[in-house]
Amino acid sequence: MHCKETQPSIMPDQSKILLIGPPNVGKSAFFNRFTGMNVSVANYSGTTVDYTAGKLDMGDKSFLLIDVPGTYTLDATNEAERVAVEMLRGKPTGVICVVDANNLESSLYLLLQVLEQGLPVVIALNRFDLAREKGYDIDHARLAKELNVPVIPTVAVTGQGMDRLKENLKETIEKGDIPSLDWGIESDARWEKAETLADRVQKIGTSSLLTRQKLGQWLIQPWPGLLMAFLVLFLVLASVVGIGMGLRRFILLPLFRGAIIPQIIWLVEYMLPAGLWQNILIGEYGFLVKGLEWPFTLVLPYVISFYGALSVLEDSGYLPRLGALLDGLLNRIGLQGSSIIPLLLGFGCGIPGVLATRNLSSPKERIIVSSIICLTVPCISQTGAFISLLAERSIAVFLAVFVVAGIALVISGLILDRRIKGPKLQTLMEIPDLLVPSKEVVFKKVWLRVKHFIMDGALPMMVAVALAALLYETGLMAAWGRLLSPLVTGWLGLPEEAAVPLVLGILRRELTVIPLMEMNLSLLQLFVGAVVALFYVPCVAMIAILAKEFRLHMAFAVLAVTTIISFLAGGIFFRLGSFFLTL
Amino acid sequence: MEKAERACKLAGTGIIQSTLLFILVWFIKGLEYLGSRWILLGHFYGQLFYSKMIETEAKLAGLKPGMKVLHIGSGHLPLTAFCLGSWGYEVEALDNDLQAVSSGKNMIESSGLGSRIKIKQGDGTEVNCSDFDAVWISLHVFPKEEVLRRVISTLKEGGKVIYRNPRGLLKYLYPRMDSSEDMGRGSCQKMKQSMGKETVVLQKCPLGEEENPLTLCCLRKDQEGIIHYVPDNPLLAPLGLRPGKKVRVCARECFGGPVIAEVERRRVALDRLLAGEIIVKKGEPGAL
Repeated sequence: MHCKETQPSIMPDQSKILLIGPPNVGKSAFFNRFTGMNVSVANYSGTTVDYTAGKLDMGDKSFLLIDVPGTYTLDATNEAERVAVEMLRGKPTGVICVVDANNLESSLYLLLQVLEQGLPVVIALNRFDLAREKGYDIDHARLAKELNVPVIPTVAVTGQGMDRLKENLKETIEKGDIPSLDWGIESDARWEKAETLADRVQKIGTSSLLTRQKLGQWLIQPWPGLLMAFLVLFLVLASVVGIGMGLRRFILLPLFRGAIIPQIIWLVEYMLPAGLWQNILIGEYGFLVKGLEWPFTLVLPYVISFYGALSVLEDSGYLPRLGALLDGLLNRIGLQGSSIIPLLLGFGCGIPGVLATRNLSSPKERIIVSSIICLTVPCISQTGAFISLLAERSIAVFLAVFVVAGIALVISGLILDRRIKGPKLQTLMEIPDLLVPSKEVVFKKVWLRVKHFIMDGALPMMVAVALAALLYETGLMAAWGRLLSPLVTGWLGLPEEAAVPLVLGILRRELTVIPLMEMNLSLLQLFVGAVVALFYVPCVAMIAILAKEFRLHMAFAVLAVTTIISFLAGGIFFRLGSFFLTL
Repeated sequence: MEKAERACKLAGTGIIQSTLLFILVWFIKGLEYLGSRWILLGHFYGQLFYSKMIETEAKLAGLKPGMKVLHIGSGHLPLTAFCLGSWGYEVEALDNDLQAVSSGKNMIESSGLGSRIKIKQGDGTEVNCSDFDAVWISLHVFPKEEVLRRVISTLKEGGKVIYRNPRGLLKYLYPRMDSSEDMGRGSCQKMKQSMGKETVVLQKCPLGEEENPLTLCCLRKDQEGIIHYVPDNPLLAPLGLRPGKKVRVCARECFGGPVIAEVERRRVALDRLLAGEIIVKKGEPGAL
């Protein structure tokens, strides 16, 4: 989602080529290879939640390649299938149908439906390597002959077969070959044809299970799967915190505090006389000091460590297993196992989390998961700030904040499940093979996220810090603090200046936390501040995405509920904490 | 509702149990009679004890408005029939107590649902259910096992039977029917309800009596079967779950979580309710 997306409808004149296939077959990997762009890929169904378009050059002509969301059939039973059917009706120049060599029969059913559209088609028989490993021997030449359409065995992640596919596509489009049909177009006749074809072209040999296949089966058993799930989640948390702290302490902090910032201070002092403008640039909230230090030494290390861990989880195919293991528990708070993916993405950033809810089976579940992400799931920028603010002072307080978040998640799930009307759908999801994540892909993903954080995270944060500097130096901030003092000081027990992060927090979630670090707060005040920050309004970008994905009133409801809950919870914890401390 | 005296004779194993059951049935009957006279009280009683339960039962059985439903043992206050009728089902309700039939009719007519709900006098042991998509049997019906056998033998293939078993303290008063899976000749799903009840949904499966069908949900871990029937769900076929395919249960998750099934080396996590609707057979694929 974090690349340039072009809406195909904006360019009606350009010839379009569609990339169609079942979910989790590697269509996005083809797309990235052909266009040089980078759309997100992972080892589970439904990574592409919207269509994405990019330029594909073939010889002297250029085409618009469209990555259509994965669909098992063209029966238009869900949103992704409706998108695919609509695109096929839009008269594209050609279609690349990606067929899964591991699940030939059901891929062939979709292929037959695509061929029925009367368009030039080439077939990419993808994941050929995995099929061979499982003992499937597919006679692709025979398949091509049976259907009279070019069939190219490919391995999209390594790029094998890509050039041949492109050549064949070019040839097919130039000739304008349209496949002929010799099967009935009813569902049963199509399944019969798919079955006969699969029987004719595929030989299933015996193969012994590989270690990772055995591991994959082992991890899905309740025992030891649940224990392993607990260990995996613990390891993920430990590596996010550990690696993040290491990156901060040993690399980024020395780099910024030791090398970059002193140079800037020296330069500003040399160029500007002491006064308002110098203070805005390098003073208390100086945006060339805090505006660099906060995003790059406080948040960036955790962005790197979190996305490193998440990419490994995503590409290994472990997440659907985790979803299946926890499905029974999640059902009790109105969610399904598949909700685990948007929730985990939400721990990175709420926006991809909310977008990933599009894959969930019912509107009710979408609303529940999105609300939970907004209310109780801190994004990695905020978590990074929590770690820096709390973990370095007291690990217990840091863990307590996460326990509060966990309890809030369960309670909000229980309440929303009862309040929101709508049918509850039954869990039905594919568990992909366990794969060893490719180092290249993981590094590429982390790099993309870092780039995205710098553009969409660090820059707005610098702007927010500049705003804070301006308010601070002009005395407006102190006035704002006095205005909110009954709430901030009286109710929450925080110093007056803590009113500032409440304004900045609307721009970026982590800014509700970071300024607290500079205020010499007691442990109780830190905890109260962190709880307020945890429940406080999501950032502006999240509000915008909620309004876009749902309705405007949902965005307003989230704003109101988060504000009320954050102050209510903060005040209650302050009173409880003060009471216990006096005992 | 059947006569309480008959209830005691058939269900009771001791004098105390019979007396308690007699008092309980008499009390409920009285309450329902009052409910049928004062309609507001009746609606309140229905909201409190029935509406949610019937909604979950209809959902569990996969029923849709418009279907034809028979309710055996509707009593003075035919709340099951009333709820189903108000949601758009075509309902026929049956009771062998003439007085209960007449107060039931009054209640339905005063609610304006007379066009959708018909109340008749009749005996559950002589009923013909061949016209209905689903049949509800009340907890208070006696002799329940006999009625259930009659219902299943006359029900069409694929039809559903919904009945309630007692649990908790109630099971000391009412007899439980646990051998129902044999009788159902098809899938059997159970769900706990409030107020000491448990709902059982049986589906009469389209198979001959000599065969011994199971559902995917009933298979133990590592047990194999051949898929015989799959419900109407557009995702099942593309995920490989089609009639004639060999299926193996790889795992059954905790906390009522999904069943993990493997078809042609592809693993799929299925909700237990969904797995309970997939009928499997033992044997080799070629046998079908």
